[in-house]
Amino acid sequence: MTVILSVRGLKKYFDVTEGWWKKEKQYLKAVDHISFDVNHGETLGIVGESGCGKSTTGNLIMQLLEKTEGEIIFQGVDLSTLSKQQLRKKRAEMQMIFQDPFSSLNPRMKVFDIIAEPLLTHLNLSSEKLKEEVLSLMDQVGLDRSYIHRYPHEFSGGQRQRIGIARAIALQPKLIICDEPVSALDVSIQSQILNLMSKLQKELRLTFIFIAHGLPAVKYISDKIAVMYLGKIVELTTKEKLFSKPLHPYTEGLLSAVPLPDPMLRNKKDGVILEGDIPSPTNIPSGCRFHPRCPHAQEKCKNEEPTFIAHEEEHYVACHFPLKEGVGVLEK
Amino acid sequence: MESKENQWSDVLVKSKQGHLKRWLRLLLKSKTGTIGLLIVLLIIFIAIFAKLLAPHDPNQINAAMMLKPPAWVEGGDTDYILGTDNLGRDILSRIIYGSQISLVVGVASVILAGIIGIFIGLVSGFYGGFLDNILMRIVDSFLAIPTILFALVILTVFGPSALTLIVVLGVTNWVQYARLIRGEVLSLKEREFVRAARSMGVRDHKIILKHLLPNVISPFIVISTLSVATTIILEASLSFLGLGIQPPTISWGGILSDGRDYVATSWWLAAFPGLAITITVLGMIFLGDWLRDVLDPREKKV
Amino acid sequence: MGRESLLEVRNLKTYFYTEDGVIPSVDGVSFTIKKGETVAVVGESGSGKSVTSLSIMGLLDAAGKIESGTIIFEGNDITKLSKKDRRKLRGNEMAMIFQEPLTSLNPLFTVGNQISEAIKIHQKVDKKEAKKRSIEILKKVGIARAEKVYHSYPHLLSGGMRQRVMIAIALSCNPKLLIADEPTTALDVTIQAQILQLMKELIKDKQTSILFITHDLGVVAEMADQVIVMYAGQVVEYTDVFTLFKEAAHPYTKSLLASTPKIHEQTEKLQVIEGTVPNPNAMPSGCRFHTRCPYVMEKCMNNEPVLTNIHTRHQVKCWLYEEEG
Repeated sequence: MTVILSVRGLKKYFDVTEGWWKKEKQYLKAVDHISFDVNHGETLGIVGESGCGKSTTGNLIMQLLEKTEGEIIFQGVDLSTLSKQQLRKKRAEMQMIFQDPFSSLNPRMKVFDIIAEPLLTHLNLSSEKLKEEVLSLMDQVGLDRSYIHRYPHEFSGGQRQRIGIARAIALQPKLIICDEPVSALDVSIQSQILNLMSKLQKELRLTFIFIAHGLPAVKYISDKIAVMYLGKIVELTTKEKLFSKPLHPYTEGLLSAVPLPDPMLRNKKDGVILEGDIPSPTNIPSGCRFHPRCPHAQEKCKNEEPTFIAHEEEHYVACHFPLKEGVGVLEK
Repeated sequence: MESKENQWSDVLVKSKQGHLKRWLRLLLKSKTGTIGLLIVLLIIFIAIFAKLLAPHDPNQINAAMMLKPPAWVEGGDTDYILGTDNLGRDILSRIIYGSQISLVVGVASVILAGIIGIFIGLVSGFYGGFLDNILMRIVDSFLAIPTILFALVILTVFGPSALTLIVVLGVTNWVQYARLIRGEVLSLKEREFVRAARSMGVRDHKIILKHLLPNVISPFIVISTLSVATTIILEASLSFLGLGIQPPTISWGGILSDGRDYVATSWWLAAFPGLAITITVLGMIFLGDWLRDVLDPREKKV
Repeated sequence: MGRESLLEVRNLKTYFYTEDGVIPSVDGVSFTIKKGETVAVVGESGSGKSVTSLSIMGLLDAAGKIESGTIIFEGNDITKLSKKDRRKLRGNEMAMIFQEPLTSLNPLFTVGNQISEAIKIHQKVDKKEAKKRSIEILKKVGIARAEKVYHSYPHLLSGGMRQRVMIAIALSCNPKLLIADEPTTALDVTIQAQILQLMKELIKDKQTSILFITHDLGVVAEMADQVIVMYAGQVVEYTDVFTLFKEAAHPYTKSLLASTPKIHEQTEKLQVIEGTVPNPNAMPSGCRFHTRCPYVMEKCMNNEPVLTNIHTRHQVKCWLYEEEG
């Protein structure tokens, strides 16, 4: 297992100071010092609710946003040391799949032009070779070849997402960042797309970072899962450990909040319902940022920020009092 | 294979009918749109075939036929349907010829303004930051200049001609396009397909040309039809003031200006060129409104 | 059970007249809601579930029209009521909460303004009394600082708060029927759990009937007594929630259940339903699901099955069961 991507101490603060006369700067701490590794060929799921910084993390890795601090090391190279030209080349190896299948495709371009764009940008192909390549990509994602001259608006959400996937795999990248790729789709279509993605992952030996707002979506596809809350990773471990024995109270809350598709389990869940609202990332609580909602919060949590450490092997958590009997949903 | 066919056969959200058919259907549904399009096509037709359509030489002076009223008024002559002016020139022929210059000035100045405005708007919106700030302050200062006064000054300095007029109108008009296009670009930039292009490493100029430009063309077309209309009025006003198109070239504003001294007694000198302007402008506005519905970039969802 | 029925929808057909032709969004839907019962309508986009709820509320936009069928609310056919009577019914007897609370609240008025307005209109009390009742209701929907929220504008509140406010407005007049159209879809999952919990508590107290529109089978399992599964404008299966999750009969329901992520089970691959919901202006002939059905037979392609009882209170619209019965 080789590490393909390392993120170290990554921060992104947005200046949200209102008015130029104010002396004190106000920051929205979208991502606040996170670190993780992704191994070649595996899938890291990043999960969290709104404002947790998961999408910002994706955009930072893709170099679509400029980081405030920290390192993003992709295939052994710190991306921030690259020149504009070198970075452009590097982009061929990392691609992105977007959430909204309606806004991620240019409405004025045909399917062919959309899928051909990355190929035209990075390779020098003859027009026959290009067409052949596009058609084979369409086969790979399950799009009928006859759709090649259609416009995006003629397709349903699931079909559009297939076009987006074809575009992302066109250059045979190593890493694909999937920013909530199924959350805008119907349930039955979600599973089609998820299955397609894991098929492609095996065939093309892809590494995925799969960003989602809920645990169900990442469960099938992820090997490891990072749970984010207000700009921090609070727990990071393998899928099995996370679902069977969560250490962080927030993870436990997230798990028990998912309504299970079985009416017999109604009212029988022993998990907790987290109270209160998610605080705004411009006004982060002191100490452990989860403490106002945490059912186990103690005095220490209010004042001291917990460090993100390995509690067990391959099980990182940022909590002063990790759960001893964390209630998961998987029985083992 | 059969089932595979079946499975994808009904995935298309919209029926397969082409754009043209849809346009035609939307056109026929909108009465004002149809009228607008017909008027505009008619004016273009008249302008192109002016030579064939005009019953007389528009500049032919005929002392015997001075200030003839329209044919249906007492004392009118069926040879001069809309009457004649103080030099005995046929009003109808003059209006027919005048359409040429009005259209050329209107369309050319809008194209000029559009080219400048779209370029500035795209660059300003896409790059943002310092460049955007500078460009938008320039736009603001242009907005602060009163158009007519500016045009008067320039035309007086450089001498009135069709070309100067086009340049003057173009230069005063580009700001509205720049602002419109910049606004569109700012919202397009946040759309995921632009982020996708950036993440792929597509070069800036390609993003601007392939992703942004095609998506700002329709709002541009919509307001440019309206702006051709206002330019025609502006051109007429300047010509009326004597600073626009100079004789012997005929423009609608010029005809109005020529008849200025006789209007009290010979109403047709002002009425018919005025009517020509009004109809053309209305036609353009109707067409613009319809185009707005048809080309709405926020595609109608089913 | 033998409870009295509150709402009876019989053979409802709602069509939309659009530039692309007539779209039969709801095509012959029938069901009953008893007093105090929660009925969930499940379906994917384009199944007609939202249009069904809007038809009941009388909130269809200009292009939508109830073609035929009856909606009997407490014994009266409300499709025959005048606009004025219909409006009186809304808010007093039936209320609705929507997916996106921000767009359903007027941004120019304070929260308190909007709740007390609703109370004043329907309950005919004075301003002071209305304010008192509004704050009571806000407290009831779990808003701790009710006084403060009363004076806030909607955009200052979080999504969960806004949905609580919407529920407060909807419940302000003690409606007999609450229609909830994907009320938690736009919310974060921990907030969704809070809102579902709140809704359960509120109906326990009041015996309010709920028509719950959702695409999420997890939410259905959590909330519903009866479930209606809709596909392409029609009801394909209609039964109680326990039967549905244990013995789903229609192939569509089965596949939907199989493709729903289950975080509490060890499964490696998700089942899929191939294809997509058919285009409403080109419905497949015969059974509308036949283009995607794994059990498709010759018969399904040309003949439409009818909704039939396969057990007591378990209706299925499928040829697989027609023959047995």
